[in-house]
Amino acid sequence: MEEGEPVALSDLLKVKVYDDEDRHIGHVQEMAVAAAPGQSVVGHLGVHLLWTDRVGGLLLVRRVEDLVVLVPWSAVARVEADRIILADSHPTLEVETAEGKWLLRRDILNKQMIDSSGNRIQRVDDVLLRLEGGAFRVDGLEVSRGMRMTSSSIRRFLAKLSRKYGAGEGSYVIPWAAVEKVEAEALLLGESVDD
Amino acid sequence: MTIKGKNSAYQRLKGSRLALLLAVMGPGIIVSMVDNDAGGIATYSVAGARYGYEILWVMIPTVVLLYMVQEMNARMGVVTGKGLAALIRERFSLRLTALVMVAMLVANFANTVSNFAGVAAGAEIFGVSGYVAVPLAAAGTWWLVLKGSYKTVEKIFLLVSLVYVAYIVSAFMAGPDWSEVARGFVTPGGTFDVAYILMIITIIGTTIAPWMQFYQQSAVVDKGLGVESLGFERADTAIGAVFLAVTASAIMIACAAAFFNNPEVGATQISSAEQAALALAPVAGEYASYLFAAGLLFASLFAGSILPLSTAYTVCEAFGWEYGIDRKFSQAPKFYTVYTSFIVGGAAIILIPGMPLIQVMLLSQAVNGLLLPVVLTCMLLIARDRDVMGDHVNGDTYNTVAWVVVMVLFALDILLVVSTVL
Repeated sequence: MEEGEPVALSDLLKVKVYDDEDRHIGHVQEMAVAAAPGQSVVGHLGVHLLWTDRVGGLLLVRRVEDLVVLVPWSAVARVEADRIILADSHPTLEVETAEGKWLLRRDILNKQMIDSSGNRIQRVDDVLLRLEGGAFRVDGLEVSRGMRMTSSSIRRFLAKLSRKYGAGEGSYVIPWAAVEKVEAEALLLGESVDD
Repeated sequence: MTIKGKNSAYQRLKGSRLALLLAVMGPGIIVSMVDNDAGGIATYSVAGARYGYEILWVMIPTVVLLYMVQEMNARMGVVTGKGLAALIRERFSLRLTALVMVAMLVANFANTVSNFAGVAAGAEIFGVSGYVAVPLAAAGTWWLVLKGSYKTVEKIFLLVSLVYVAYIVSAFMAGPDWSEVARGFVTPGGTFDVAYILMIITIIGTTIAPWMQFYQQSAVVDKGLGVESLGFERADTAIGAVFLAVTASAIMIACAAAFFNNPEVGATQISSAEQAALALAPVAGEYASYLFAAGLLFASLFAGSILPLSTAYTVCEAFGWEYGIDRKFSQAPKFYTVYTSFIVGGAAIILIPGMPLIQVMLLSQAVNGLLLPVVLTCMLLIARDRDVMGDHVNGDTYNTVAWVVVMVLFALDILLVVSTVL
């Protein structure tokens, strides 16, 4: 992962996570941004833990596996090519709840996109991020090559969004700024494919 | 949760004419009716003719399995408000979804072809050439669903659904020994050789097909049913499963009474539904034969119109494309392309002289067999996920039983696919 280069969320999932004692503690399961339009900075990292005997300050009765915790991005020491290193030691990591956050895998990836006129556009094929100053920022939502090739209305829609939001980086991305709402059923875009 | 503000168009999408159509009858009942299509009628006919009443017991565990699978779909639909294709896409990945959709397209297309073959066979018994009946049926169903008014479609489908009663009447007209029938249901009989076991597997494979899971869940969602309707939906699913079992059993009973142990006919000569319909005439009377043929014709017509529509909805839902019969072609081109391709392509294949239809049906059977375990595994993982299902997750006991059921189906499917390929 190079600074400034776009990277797909699906490529980041399963990236190994290490703690400050260089122990492999799990893998990336989620990334979270604040639940508000225009908020693009990834504020939390969801780690699928290989094992833990406590959650926050709570000591568990027995060690568990298959547990996902949200760690504030401030607890991330650095992002390397094939792994993410935390600044703290497991299992005393600071963890937070998912309240008030959009989880990129759970709430965005594969979700239906609907334009402002109510037309179904397609589902989110991937979420594109960019590493800037050691933190990830959401660039936009990827539209698959097949969809672009087979639908002229999608190509026109992408070009319009690109002009309006100044995406610049090719016309295969729906800019994150064009996402107006994230609901359980769908992502609502602020523009219409009909215009 | 609903989309507020700029949501009027989104809400409009949910009120499609398909939803209105499905509101007439329960999704569980419709899915069961459509499942008794040309392929199903052929399987049940051959089973009854070759093995008599002794194979009737298979319908009891089959209907229990069917209920368990379809109930999960109904529950997932009312709890999440999403179709199965959408849930698989959201819970798993684009790659798996694409794989499942491609397999489903192949299997459903082959099913559609076999249904048009059923239309041709049924029509020819009434003296109408398949070359006339199939294009008429294709054009008629395409026009009816896409251009006809909702009220007309509703009335015609309700009328068509009555043809399934024809099989029950045929069963009575064939004059079965009812005490033998009752014994057949409660006592597993027959010689458990390879052919008999393969017939059992084929019955289960025909009765529980992957398209049914996608269809019922989408139908439940389209109807806008909430968790408060879960009891109703369970009843609807149970009624549908029982209805399917009664119709399938009636076909088996009619063929068992007419052909099994009947040296004048020769049970092993019956290898298709149209042969069964024709052979019924000298044994059970001309009217029984015509009733059987009418059942085949209209059931094929019914399935041949619903299956392409269901496929178009499922594929568009999976990939998030615009869909709905209330949309124009320019607004939902992919939806109309899938639907029209199925109707036109399915009918065209039947019109090709010398087309190996048996191979097409075997292909459908094999792809369905491979797809079913994948779909059921996805369903069980979703139905066990508390984030998705909340308090309506599968309980421990139910889940264990469901996994055992799926494992049994896995094993049976592998056997069926291997036997189909070899």
